Amino acid sequence: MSKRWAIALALLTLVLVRAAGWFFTRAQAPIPAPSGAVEPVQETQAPFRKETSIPENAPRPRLSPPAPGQDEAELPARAQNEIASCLGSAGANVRSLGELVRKVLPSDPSQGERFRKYRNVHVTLPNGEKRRFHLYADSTPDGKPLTRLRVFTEDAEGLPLPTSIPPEHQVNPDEALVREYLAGGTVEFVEEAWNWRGQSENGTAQSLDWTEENGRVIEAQVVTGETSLGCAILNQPDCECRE
Amino acid sequence: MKRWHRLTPRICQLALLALCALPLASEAAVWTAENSWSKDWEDRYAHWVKTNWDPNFFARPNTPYTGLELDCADVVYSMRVIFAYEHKLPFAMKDPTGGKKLLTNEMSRWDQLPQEKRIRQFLLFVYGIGSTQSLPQDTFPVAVNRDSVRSGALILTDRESHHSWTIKEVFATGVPHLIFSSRPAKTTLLVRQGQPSMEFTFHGKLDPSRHAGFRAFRRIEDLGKPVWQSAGYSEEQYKIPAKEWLFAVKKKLALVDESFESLLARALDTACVSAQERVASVNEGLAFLSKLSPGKCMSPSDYDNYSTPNRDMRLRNAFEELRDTLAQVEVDPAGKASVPAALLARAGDVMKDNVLPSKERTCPVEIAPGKSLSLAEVRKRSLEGRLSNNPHDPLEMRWGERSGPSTRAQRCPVYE
Repeated sequence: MSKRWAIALALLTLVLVRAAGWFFTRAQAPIPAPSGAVEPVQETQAPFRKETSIPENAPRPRLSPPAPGQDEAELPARAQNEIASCLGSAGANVRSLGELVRKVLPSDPSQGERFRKYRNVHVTLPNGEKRRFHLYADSTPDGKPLTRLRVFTEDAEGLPLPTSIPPEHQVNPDEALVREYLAGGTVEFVEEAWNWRGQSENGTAQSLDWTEENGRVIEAQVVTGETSLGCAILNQPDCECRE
Repeated sequence: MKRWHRLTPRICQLALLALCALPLASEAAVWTAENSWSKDWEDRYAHWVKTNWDPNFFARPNTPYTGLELDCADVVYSMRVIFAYEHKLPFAMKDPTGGKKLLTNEMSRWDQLPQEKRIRQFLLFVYGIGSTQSLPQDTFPVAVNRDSVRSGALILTDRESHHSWTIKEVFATGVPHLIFSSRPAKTTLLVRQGQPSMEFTFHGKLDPSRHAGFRAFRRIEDLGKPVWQSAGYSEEQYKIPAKEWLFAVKKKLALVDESFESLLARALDTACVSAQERVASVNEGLAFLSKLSPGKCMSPSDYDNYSTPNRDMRLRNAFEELRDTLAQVEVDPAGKASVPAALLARAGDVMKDNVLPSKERTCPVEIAPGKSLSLAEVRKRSLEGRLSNNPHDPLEMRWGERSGPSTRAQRCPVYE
């Protein structure tokens, strides 16, 4: 085959591939809403299932500190040393982020003020459809805490697409309702972010912010007086102390 | 064969033409970023906010954003999204629903729409998914200096107040000029010249884990890191003692001292504007209430939209600030002498009891057509706690003419 033929064939193949790509990505995209209208919303029947059973693999929501887990990554020595030098005796022999959180949180859950900032649950329904449940802490106009629920599907890019749920489900949904929503689907991912404020053993004001993915602590920040310690295992496990 | 050889260049030309004509699916985006964020672009962003960002930004005709309705967090996100869009810069925010992919200008969901409709749909998407709760993920606390606290930065409260403001400018006196919105979402934005109160912003708890205070948008490359690893991250503002916070922050941001005249004029203006804005808020709630069948209660989200406890707290704070400023001026003979007598008299009037609107020299508050209250009367009722924030109460109770709660307010939930 001559060089020219090879070039011509390559170009034709490129055209065909792009045409196919265009067909599958654009021609089948959702119908847009009219200009100025709100985001096109897919109506969703809620709850999706009436069963109250919870799938075996569903990580359960809880109010207690994360339990020691087999998959807790051991922090590198540098990070462990940073924790120890930052928190003193409270940070001694802390090898993982889970241990750090368990050490700072008082064993008595009634001590201090503890609240969940948000919880994300990703579910695959039996028909293969993906759903995301986003529960987050908000407050009433009077500053009283409340929880809001938003539900999403996923678009072709795997990005969240809002769906509607009844207004009465959007504010302070109880656990039973959330479980009803989850039932019938396979829980793929749970993310929770928490905050605790209280006093350390020596009476200093202290706060702890932490995030868990599937029950594993991936990020934590401890503030004691004017000292702040941040730790994360997002990319490279690391800790940083600020005084 | 020679014929084919002659045709080959023709085939190549046709193929190239077809390539150009086809939409580029792989380059699909809300807009295509041709520039990258840098120190220079951050400076241009600050300049753009200072010169373009104003209460009527979304009310201007014939823009892709005309008529959009925004709440407070929507205004913050819009400031960054719109600048990025208009200057072909990338925009990204973390996915609050737990997805690992960032939500960016590269989303292809609206590809079939023309450019100006794509940006509008993207903004609506951001409004639907972003909130004061997602802002801590997309922004970081900054140092208290004029390089960081400047046009394009923002102020966030803790979750109890769930409010946010964009910083249009920080005046030479260290006073911030804020543009913001509140609920219900609206097109014409609100303005404030002055730092929000400590109580409203922090509730007395200065702690980085509460995310309140001065913040700026994170660099896109920092979004995958913990927030404390963001470039420019600083906990300086949380180390300032609460009692000194407002004074210390103003001093750190100031290039010149604020004169007593400016201080008093600003305090008076804030009180006046806050009272007049409450008129619009209360009336929106009353109009909504009138559309409900008699005796029916508002839904939790409508209650949230039309009740005014935060606004009422800010109004009360404004009157307290005016009272304290006037006292500060009056104890300083030189300071008092530097303030024009007319301004002193206007401020003094607001502190008096029982000033009729016709006799007041400034800022009558028209709560209904033909019915005005003096700013002094609003101050008195505000400080005495007589203003009702309950959207189920009628006009007279909302403004403290009659004490409440009304039968309807008693019967309907307050969603605590």
